[in-house]
Amino acid sequence: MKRGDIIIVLVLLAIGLAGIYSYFFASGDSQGTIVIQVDGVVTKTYPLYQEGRDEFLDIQGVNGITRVHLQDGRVCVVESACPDKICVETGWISNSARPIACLPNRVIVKIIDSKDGDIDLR
Amino acid sequence: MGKTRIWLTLLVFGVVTVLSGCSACEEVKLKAYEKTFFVMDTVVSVQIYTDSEAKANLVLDRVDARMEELEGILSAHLPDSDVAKLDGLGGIEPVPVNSATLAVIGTALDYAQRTGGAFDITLAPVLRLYNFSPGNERRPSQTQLKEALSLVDWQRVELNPEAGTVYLTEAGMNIDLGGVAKGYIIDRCLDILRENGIEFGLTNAGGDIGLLAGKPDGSPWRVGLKNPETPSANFAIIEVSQGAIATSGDYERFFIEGGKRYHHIIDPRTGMPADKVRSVTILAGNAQVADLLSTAVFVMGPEQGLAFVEGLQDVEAVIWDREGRVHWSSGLVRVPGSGSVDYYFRRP
Repeated sequence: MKRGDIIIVLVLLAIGLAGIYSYFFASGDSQGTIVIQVDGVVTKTYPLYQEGRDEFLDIQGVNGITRVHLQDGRVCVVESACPDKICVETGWISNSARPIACLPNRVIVKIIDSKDGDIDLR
Repeated sequence: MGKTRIWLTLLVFGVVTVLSGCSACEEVKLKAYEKTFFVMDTVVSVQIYTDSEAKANLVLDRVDARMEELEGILSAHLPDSDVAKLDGLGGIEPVPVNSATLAVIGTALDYAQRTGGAFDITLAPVLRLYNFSPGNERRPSQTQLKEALSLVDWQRVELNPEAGTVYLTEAGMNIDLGGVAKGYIIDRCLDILRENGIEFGLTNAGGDIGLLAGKPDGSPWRVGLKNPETPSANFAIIEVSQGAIATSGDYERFFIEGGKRYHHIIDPRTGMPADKVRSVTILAGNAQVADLLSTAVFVMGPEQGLAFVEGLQDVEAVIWDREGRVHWSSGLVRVPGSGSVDYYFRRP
């Protein structure tokens, strides 16, 4: 095999491997997004992972405020204008398997495109 | 041309084929679109895969309109619904109802018969006594229960599909479609997706899930089953690629009085919360059947419930009994699974 042939082989192998890598892995580099909806409409989105984040958000729902706590890689509802507090009791979520829903206040907090859960639905 | 050249040509051909194959995959790659609705006191999430945002919006708007329409017909809480119309006309006259109501009640009565009354839509007078709305729950007295139970009998519902009417034969009778309407709405939602050419998609109404197919990459959906003792965790994962899956659990709605837990799945024969199991998950061909069978098998208990499921085609069950033992039907195979759960099931 001539030197030129070897170069062609190496280049083709590199292209092939890059193609395979991008096909199988690059599309999965999304780290997840926190989505907040009010009455079916997306009002805010945040990256799931943000180093050192520890902040509270007040979301205006249909009956009042739903207070959301954002950390690096997880989110929960700490208070909401609702009688049953099912949203608060849901606790922290860190993947797309389970949303937090405050039905009376029509607020939903969910995570999309997370890669860390071993289930798709719940 | 030497051997090397032939080899190189083949290699080039191979690489080009692989790459063009991948780009073809990319070209038909479908994007996920999701919309969330509030229907029948539940968050309903509809997820579809399509290549066009305009189409996704069109289809999801159609789903939205249909769900709102069906809720207006089937919900007990809306004043103009068929269920509300029937209220108070027991023993007086047949009531004309929508074809959707006829279909839902028809299936409900069919399964009431098959389950020996373990599933019964005429349980409404008993459910009203408990009033499972947060903060307003109460434990009925034995006298109240006895009186309400005298009105519970699915055989006293007269369905007349030709005339399009439903007649409750006794004064004071009511119906509650809570255990069956959600599944029906999920199924009709999936119909709309199919009619609009959507191949991959699902509807998830608070854990009652209807599927068009597996995931677009060909793999099945992995559905987590809540651990009744700690519902934020899963005790099992089931792989599902078709039909529907629904769960009834005693952790969903309950209150505690006098140190005793009263949950919302009531045995129509006793008027008391069914206490043989804590959670039942059903896989079935459609969501309406999965929905009502999860309630019926919960009431029947593990032995009778599993035996019943084994006698049905295309239906599977996973049951967590009151001692924490997990039972499953013979059409499911427990396989070594990945991750955090003790049980991982698939259909062989």
